[in-house]
Amino acid sequence: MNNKRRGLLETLTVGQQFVARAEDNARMDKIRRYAPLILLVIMTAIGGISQKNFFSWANIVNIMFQMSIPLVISVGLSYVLLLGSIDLSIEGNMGFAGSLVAFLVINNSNSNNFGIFGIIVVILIGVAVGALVGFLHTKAKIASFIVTYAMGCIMTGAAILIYRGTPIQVKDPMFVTISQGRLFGIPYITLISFAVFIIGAIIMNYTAFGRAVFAIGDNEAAAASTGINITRTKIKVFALCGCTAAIAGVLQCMRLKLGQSDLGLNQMFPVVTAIVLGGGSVSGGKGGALQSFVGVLIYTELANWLTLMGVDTNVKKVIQGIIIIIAVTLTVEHNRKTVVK
Amino acid sequence: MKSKKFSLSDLSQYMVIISVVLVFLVFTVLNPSFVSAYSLQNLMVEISPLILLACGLSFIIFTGGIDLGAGAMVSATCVISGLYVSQFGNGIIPIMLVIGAVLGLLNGCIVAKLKIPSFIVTLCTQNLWAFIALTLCPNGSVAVDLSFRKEIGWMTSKLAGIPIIFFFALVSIAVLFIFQQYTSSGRAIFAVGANIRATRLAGIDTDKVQIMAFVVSGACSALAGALYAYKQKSAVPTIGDALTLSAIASIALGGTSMAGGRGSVLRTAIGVVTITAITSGLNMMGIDPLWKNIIIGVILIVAVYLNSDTKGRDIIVK
Repeated sequence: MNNKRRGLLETLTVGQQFVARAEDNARMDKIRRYAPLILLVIMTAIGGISQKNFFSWANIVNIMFQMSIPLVISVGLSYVLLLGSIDLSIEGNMGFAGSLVAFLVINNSNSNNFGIFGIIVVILIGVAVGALVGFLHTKAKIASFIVTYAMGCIMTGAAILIYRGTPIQVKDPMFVTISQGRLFGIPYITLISFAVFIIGAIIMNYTAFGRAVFAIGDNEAAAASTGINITRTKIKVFALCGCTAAIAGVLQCMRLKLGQSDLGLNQMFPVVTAIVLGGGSVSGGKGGALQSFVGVLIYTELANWLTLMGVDTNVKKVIQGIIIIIAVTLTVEHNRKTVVK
Repeated sequence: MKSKKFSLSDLSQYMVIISVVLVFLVFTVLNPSFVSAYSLQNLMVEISPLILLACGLSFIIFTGGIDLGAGAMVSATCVISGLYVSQFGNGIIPIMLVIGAVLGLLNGCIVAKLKIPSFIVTLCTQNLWAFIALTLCPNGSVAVDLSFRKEIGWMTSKLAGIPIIFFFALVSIAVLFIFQQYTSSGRAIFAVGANIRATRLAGIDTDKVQIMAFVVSGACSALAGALYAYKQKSAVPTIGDALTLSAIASIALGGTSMAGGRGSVLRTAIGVVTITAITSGLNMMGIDPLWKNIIIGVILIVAVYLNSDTKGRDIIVK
């Protein structure tokens, strides 16, 4: 088939060859665009077959609840992956935010009672840490995986320093209300996470900043020559990722009513898996908010099914790793002039 | 402006010597027993496995890649050697070398053949190593059988006051240094890091070179895992958790550029001495060990910044 096409191409003019190639690319793009949706249908079918009450309202709410924290993380991480960078500091950031917010609201270890201001301060610190990462990455030209890896370790260390060995228990009534309250049967945490996602999606799709991120991820040199301020955009992206990581940390703290660095443990890797499953690319330029949403949904259904099959947590992580490698292999563009290091 | 940048890159070349001297000076002044024979012997035992890990990992960084799963590989190999040393005796060391080389080969093939960035690949494969470690040792560390302790005791015993494990590390550094300096594969690793496209055009099989770097690093990590098993006299499934950070920080402190093409295993070894001296010095001063990760993280960022090539304006860093 391929050889036949190639033979056909040789008999065409340059213009016709160009058109044929463009059509080929468009076809591949179409497959890439619809593959996640097909995967979602398959996973939903598997869920429907293996679980009796899969389509019941209770189970749908349950799945939405399970995907809420990964969804919040995915909002920021999608931007970072769109740039072709990565943020390994998310786990540290989450742990720090969760520990600090537990320290600032009513708890069992001190007499702090900052309430909502505590949450705001924690989220602002998350933004500041993200901005610092972005600054170091762009101004000092340090690769993002190194600077975020180091920052993640620093934040985890700082989180443990806050509570020094004994995790803080949260007693704040506001936290108890949010973690247990429901509106129309949907938990508040889920509603908050969906709100964060919608805001993130609007920024990504309808602002100049969002379009600039796509442009940089696709071709940084071209984006720079059209007058996009690369440095400022990248710093904003990392600040945004720090912000969503902090929100995720606060939500996780509300859910467990406990502040410790382990709140962030193993939270980032599933989200990278989810984004890649949704059609995002680790080399940048591909993906988007909606794709990430589909990816998180696929991942949650997959994780649910694996748990139902009695698969061990460590095996699950290996499966995630294999998924990422396969997905990246399928989406990596070999004709692009990129240096793989 | 230009002269300032020049001095900065100069500084990164001498950074490792300056910092190791400074660290020893400061801690000796603060606590004179820091350079006592006992404490130095301890330091030698402490640094030996980390030297192996960091020097092996250096080769991947020379090619411009990274292995975020190096620590997890140490955990896996530490568990394997700790559990099976009673069956194979000291033959476990060459066996671990082979196992490590195979694990490294897996990493290297995925990176070089499938053209996926190494940080993604190793982020994924580290789960595999952690899985091996935690499956073999599901309930925490397992001590080596008491009746077998004597046979593995030689590693931590002393020859002329110097622990044998340290000689082991010295020999490894020598071998790796010769590999890096005097073999064509060793030189090719630097060439790939400096400019992969030019190296390919020069007729070198760059895929093979990248795989080679991962194989060397895997073998060294596995050896480090075996040394940890000998040192702790048990199989510890979580021993490598904090080691990746220490190893990468040591390499960066040694003046090795994270972009590849520049550095030396000797510098990495001195970097390991510095990092370990800092942590054990802080320990002796009674500072909370919780600060360790924060301090090493800051050192890593500062060291990488000093090494990074900020002169090239149009370099795209992702």
